[in-house]
Amino acid sequence: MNKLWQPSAPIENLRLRAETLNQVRQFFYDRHILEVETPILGRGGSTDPYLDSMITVCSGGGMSESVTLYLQTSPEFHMKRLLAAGSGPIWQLSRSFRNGEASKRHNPEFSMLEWYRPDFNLQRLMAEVQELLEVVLGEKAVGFSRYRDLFRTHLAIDPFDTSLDELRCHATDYAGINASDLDRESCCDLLMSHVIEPELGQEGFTFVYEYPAAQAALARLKSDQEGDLVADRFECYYQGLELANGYHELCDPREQKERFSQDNKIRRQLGKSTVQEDILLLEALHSGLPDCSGVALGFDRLLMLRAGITDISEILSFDMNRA
Amino acid sequence: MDKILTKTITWSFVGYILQAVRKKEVYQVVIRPESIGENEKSFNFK
Repeated sequence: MNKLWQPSAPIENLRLRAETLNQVRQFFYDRHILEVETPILGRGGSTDPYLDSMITVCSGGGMSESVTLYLQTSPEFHMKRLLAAGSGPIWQLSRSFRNGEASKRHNPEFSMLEWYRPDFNLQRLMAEVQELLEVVLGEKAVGFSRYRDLFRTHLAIDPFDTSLDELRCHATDYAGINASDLDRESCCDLLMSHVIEPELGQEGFTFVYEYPAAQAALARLKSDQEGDLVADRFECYYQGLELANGYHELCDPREQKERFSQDNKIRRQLGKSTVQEDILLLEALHSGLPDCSGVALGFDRLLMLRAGITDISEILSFDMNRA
Repeated sequence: MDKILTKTITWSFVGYILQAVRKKEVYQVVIRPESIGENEKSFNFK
């Protein structure tokens, strides 16, 4: 008899999920951060060349023509529109969707815990992420490291100064594939995800910051102590698992529009369809996004760590195979 | 399966994906096979 009707998670893990959600809700309530809900379907999508949205079409109901809508890869755009409208600090637990992302660590539909803090710099936000993690996972050691210092430590190279040919050689050596025509960012991403990341957070929470400028996404740029342009963002790891991604948020609408355009240019080069840039987000930035930092945390992964499991399906009522 | 062998298979598959992308072939991974393992590109929440 087919048993796919049954949940992929044990019921006890669903109780743990509910308990953790209560803890998280209390955490933000205690800090007077407003819980919000934003649309899962949006007219604009993420232009990130390495993210793929799921797309649907809405028609009828008095609409003059059908509208293409994107299942949001994160609630970021709508939350920034709320910030621009004067919401103050906000948080939400949102269902998010990413096509082509499925494995023991990813489900194409997943839960994103995202929050924004006006007037916070990244140091304050990293401290708050640590506080939340300690509520759920208990107190751990905490480490901080710059992106370039990790490469120096683990690979004895500086990703900012090393030639592209040398990066390709390292990617080939460590990855066992022909990396001769990969670009700089792909080489760094391969080395980061396959050599460095598995070692991160083994002793506690590890925060990595000051990423290459090309990996800024929606984060601001700044100069590091060596004078190189870096992205003012961080990622948090625990037990080799990528848990959270935070930005000092980009507020400049012209720079944002330029990044959207650049992303779509790369998408075309990769043979991917372009994505409708979020015009309403750009208008919100024109209106004025307050200086703020924001972070998104993989809620399912947080639960995996709390439950001590390695397969995301065991923390989801029904994973993609049973949906 | 031997760990090194597993990693080799994983990387062969990653290499195939990258080559497919570079050749601009239509390539849509809906569900990744288990052989892709835990070593994936950075997920980049947010």
